[in-house]
Amino acid sequence: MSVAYKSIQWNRFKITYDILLWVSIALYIALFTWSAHLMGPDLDMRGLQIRAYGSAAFLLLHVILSIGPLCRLDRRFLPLLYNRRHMGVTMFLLGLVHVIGFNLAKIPLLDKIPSINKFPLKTTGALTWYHDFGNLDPIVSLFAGNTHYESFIRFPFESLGVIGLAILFLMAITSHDFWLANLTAPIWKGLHMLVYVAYAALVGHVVLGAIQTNRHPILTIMVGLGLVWITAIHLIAALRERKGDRPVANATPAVDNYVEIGSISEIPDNRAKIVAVAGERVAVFKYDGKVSAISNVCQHQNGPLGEGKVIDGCITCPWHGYQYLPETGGSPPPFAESVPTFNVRLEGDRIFISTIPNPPGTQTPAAPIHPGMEGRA
Amino acid sequence: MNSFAIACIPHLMRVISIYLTIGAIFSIPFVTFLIRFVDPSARGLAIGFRLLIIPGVCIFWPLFVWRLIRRKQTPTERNIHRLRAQQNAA
Repeated sequence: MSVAYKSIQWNRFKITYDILLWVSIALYIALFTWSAHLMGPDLDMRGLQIRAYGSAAFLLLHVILSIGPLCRLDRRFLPLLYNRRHMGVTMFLLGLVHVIGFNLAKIPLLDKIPSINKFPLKTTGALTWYHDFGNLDPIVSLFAGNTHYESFIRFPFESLGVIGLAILFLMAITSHDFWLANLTAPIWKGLHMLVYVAYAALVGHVVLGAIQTNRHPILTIMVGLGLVWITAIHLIAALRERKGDRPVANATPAVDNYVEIGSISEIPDNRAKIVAVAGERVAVFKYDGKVSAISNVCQHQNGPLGEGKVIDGCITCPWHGYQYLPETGGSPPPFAESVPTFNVRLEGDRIFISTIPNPPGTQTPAAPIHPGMEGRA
Repeated sequence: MNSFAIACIPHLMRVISIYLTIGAIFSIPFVTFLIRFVDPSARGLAIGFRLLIIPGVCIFWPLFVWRLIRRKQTPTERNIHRLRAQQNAA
């Protein structure tokens, strides 16, 4: 939670996460180029590096797309979600290096350091490697070199790569919380859902690239397996979500604008039951001998508040730890986020919640659980 | 090589360059002092944060120009619960 923006709110977990991420990528790139060089000693190292960075970005995209549904299926994956934005920015940078290359000694400011030339860290990009040999500007050559948009097999796979990279660029530059606040979470999420368009474009880029260049079927098969994996886990997670929403559809019709949503005993302490009321999910929490209900949609990134728990008296979002007071839906001072609340009524063991949300931050008394209420029908 | 594409692409690149250049020019006063008029959370020096948002401002600069002209600040999201709560309160 931030009251004044910072570039990155580093903590021990984020540092460990990033170190593991970057070490894994460095190992992958080294292993890829080394093993490919062993298998084909005549292959040009610059071409191998282009493929190493491109494939690293593509693999990382699979990891990123897997995290969301995996978290839905098993909460133990949640730590991966916490810092997924750094993974996304890293993926974009890998894709950028794949396209334009990289030369440590030519980075502005770094080029002023004399000892930087001792580290000849550089790689050629696909734009230079494939499009910088004629009298045309490489960008013009990239788009004008192949214009067989009417053909499936000869389709310009480079354009698909540009679409994918452009989307990843938009996502990377809007990854800071400033953009979440200024675009609002639904628009920000909509923008970032374009990652699926990027994925489709990049699948086309890799498959058509392989078909048009070396015609080796292994790469196409591997991309196909990746596509099956991504599709399968998304479908499984979606089916589970839908199943979770189903009992609400059978809820008792509203009386006095209240609906019965279940019993006190089915909610563990400091946890919630999620039900769909008033067109969206509501998180009904049991804590400190009381029951409160708030909108399930976290104001930060629209995370599922009902999948979080009550920590230090605050409902804590499982995604990034944003907190809300159960009886007001507001974040504790000095934070300013707030979500709508719902009036709650208990009759015996049964919980009834209002179908009319209260404005965010409204003081809404929790329903006290009197002795003997739990387990009493 | 497609001669039509060769003729068109430089023009398209020029249009994109002009748009991004305007954004880059606007981003300097925006991240330096105008930002606090649209987002109260952007306070303090926070040089890293200000540098980090420059690429995005180069793309989304019309949004901030519009907000500055209309004197609007960070919006609150509109979801169905918030809308219904608002209707109920009204």
